[in-house]
Amino acid sequence: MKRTNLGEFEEIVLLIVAILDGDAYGATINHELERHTGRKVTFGTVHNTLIRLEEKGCLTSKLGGATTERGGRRKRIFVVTALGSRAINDIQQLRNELWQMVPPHFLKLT
Amino acid sequence: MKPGTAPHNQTPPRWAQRLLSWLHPSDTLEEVQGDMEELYGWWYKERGRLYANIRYLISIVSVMPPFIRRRQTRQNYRQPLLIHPAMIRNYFKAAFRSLSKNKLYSFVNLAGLTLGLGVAITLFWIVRFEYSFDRYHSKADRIYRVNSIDRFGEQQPHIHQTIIKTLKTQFPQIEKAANLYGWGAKTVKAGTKIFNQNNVFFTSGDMFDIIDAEWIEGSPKQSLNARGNVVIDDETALKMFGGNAMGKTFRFDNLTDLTVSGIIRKLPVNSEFPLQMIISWETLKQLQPEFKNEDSWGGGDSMDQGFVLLKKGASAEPVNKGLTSLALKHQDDTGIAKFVLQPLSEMHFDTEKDAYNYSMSKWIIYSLACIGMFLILIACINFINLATVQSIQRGREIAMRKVLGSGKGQLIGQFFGETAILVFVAIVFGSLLAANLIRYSSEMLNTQAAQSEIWQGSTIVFLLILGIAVTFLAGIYPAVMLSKFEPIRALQSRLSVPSGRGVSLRSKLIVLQFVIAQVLVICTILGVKQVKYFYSKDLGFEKSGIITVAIPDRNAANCERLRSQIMQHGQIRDVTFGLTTPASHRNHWWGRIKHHAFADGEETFRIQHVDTNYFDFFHIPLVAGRKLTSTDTTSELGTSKENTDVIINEKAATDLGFKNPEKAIGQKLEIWGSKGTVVGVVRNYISEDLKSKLMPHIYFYTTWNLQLASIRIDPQQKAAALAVIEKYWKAMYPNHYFEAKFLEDDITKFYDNEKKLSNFLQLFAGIGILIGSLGLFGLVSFVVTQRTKEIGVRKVLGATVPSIVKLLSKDFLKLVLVAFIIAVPLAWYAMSRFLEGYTYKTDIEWWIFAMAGMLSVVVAFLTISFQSIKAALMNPVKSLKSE
Repeated sequence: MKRTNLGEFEEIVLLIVAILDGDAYGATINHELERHTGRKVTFGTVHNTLIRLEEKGCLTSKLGGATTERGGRRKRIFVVTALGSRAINDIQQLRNELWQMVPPHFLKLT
Repeated sequence: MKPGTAPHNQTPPRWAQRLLSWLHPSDTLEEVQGDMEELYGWWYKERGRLYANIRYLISIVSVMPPFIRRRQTRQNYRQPLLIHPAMIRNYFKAAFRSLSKNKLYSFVNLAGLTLGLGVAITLFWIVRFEYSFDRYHSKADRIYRVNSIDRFGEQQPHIHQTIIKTLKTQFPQIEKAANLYGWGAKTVKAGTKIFNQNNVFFTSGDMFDIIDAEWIEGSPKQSLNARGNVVIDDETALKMFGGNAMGKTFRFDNLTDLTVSGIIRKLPVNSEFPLQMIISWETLKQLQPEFKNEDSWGGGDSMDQGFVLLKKGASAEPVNKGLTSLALKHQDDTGIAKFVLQPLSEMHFDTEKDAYNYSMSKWIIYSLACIGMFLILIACINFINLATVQSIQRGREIAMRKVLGSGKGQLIGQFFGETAILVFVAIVFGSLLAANLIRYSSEMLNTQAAQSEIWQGSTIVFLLILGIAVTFLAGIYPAVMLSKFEPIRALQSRLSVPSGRGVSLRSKLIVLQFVIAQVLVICTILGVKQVKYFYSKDLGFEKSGIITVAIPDRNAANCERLRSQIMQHGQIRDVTFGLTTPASHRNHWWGRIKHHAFADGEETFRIQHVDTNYFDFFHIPLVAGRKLTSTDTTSELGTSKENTDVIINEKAATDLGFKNPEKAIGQKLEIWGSKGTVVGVVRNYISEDLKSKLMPHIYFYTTWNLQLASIRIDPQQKAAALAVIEKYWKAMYPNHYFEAKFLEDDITKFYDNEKKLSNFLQLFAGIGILIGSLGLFGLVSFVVTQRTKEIGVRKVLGATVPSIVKLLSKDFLKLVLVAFIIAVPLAWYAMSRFLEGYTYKTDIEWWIFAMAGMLSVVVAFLTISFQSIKAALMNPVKSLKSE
């Protein structure tokens, strides 16, 4: 199986885009990320990650229409591609399999 | 935060927004601005203005270029292969069309580049040749010449033979050491044929363990051991014996018979060792018994230099120290204060010392390299100027290419390609020109580069590098500028007007060109003036109409016979004999004169042996005392009766501490262990070239050392006089080679270097001005075509021809004048540095600058006026009718 290598942060961003479902653009992604994970991220990191994910083929984007808010500037809306959703599914599955293999007493101790 | 305010109404500060738009790449600016503004609203709502501002600023930094990841533009259109044959054909076609469309500009460019590059290539060959001197020896890095510095700080290359013996026996660092004694030109007689043999040397076989030579017959070990052995090079063998010379015998200088015991291949021209006839050291010991003395530290012949080969890894410093301390031990014998081993690689560039071949100072080489670069620069400027004015015509081609999808890089590549075509064509022509120029280089400069192999691998490498460098230098500005054209502007207006900045850049470049050209012109005029000054300077003695011939046997009786024989003929006015003429290149005798008035108790004097007629003959006036008579002989020198009457010159009198020369009469001097009394003082004259200082002289009347006859002839009957001299001389010396010289020619030869350099400068200045004018011509003709309509309208409205010429010329002439103002101080500085090296020098006068200024203004005006008058005379009907 050919795996797409995703970093931890990339995985989270990909998930957030999936969560936002069509309303995912720079500002909302950044905002949701901070809200859900509780960590402060600089906008540049998010921006770069989005571009990188797009290069990897996990996301596509297109510029939305003109808006009335934010000075009439257009938003770049991100959507998860089939490859992207398979990638997060794969990760999820792998994690589950690994969890199954962890001895139960270890889980109890922690 | 006011309650109820919607978060998205909170906008970041203006300056911060501007900062963002400034720092962020434009392709993703819009979305990032929007996103960050929204985030700002949230941050503001959460924690207030300060927090939001700080986070906004951090975000700006995080989306700034090195940190930001650039979104790749998606290629919807697959570009055709850049090096597609069709595209290449198109490039060539476009290049060829634009070159042939503007034949004038192409010609100007090509001619300028060819001239500049041709000279630069010639200079490259010369510089390479001069630097190649003696590099070919396999042990070159371990070879040194033994130099010394005497008590007065004078450097000298010659040594006493004792030093070589000492080096061989007492210094473990020395692998080999050898004397090399140069004897200049001598007569040789093979069979019945008499030759004048140049480059005669005495040395031992060790010398050939130090330097490399290819032995055809014999070997360094065997060929130079015995008395009477001689090794000659193949060229000399062919000249003297017509081929096989081994074992043959010839008469040398009517002194001794020599047997050829070895033959070497002629040594390369780029060597300071032009050894053509090498006679064994044992023979020299026989001919000049003083060379048998290998214990004394004093004396030494100025033609005897010493060469050593150090052992691998040995350093020269301990040898210097050891020799110096030995010299200090023998202070009574020698005037040497310090020994210095000079690396072989520096020998060719040391003009202070006598060279067996010739030496060239580094500053000349550096100046040549600089001038070469300047000429290339002038040619490149032409190219840039013409390319920028042409760009207007090519604007539409560029716009069309851009519209059809050509990228900036492609356009830049195209223009560089066009430049490269032109440059490499110019290099081909330039190297043809250079191959012709190099043949004249020995007339232009004291170099023998013409005899070297010029088309070596390094020439090809140099031409390639030169081509690439010039292409880059000449092509970069036009290429970048042309590729920046905006298609809309170029297509919309019929003629896109050149921007103001381009014009001023052109002006700056023209000024630069003319600064270079004018500095060259000023330096040239001054150089020529200095050489003229050398030739015309009164040397303090009469030098015209004098023929000199050698007296090979130094026999006074023969001298008298020759004198009485030739004086019978009307063409001969007067005759005198002496060691040398007052000013001579070679054969200087020096001696240390002892007198209590000198600082160290002694001083080095130049010694001149003369007959009684010498001072009258050369019109050297006596300022005190009496002349020498035939009773003032020096034949008793060194005996108990010795007390010779001598004459000194004014400089010697001043050095003795007498302002009034009368007071010097009767002073007792000690020379070489014997006494002399001053009986007369003669006026100073210039005894060497004008670069050297005045030297104190001492004159002896002798009969044993008159080596040269000076004969004043009737200048109207030169040929007859020469025939008379030759007839009697040959009868007296049938075994010697007759060579008569004119004293004036001899003296002129002192300044060969300067003369040749000034020739070279004249060529450079001429080419500099020519290339500059070519560029100006191209520019003016362009401006004229641009303004044809304007001129037509002006004429219709009543402008006169002169007023139009003035209109067109004014701007350009102004630039030439500005260049002149910049060039004057630069040239003045350069020339005062150059003249510093001369004791006698010409003045830097204002008219030199005026002349150079006038010259360039006139040349520029002629260049401009040709085109502008043509334009002004044009019938306005013609220029206005066509559209």
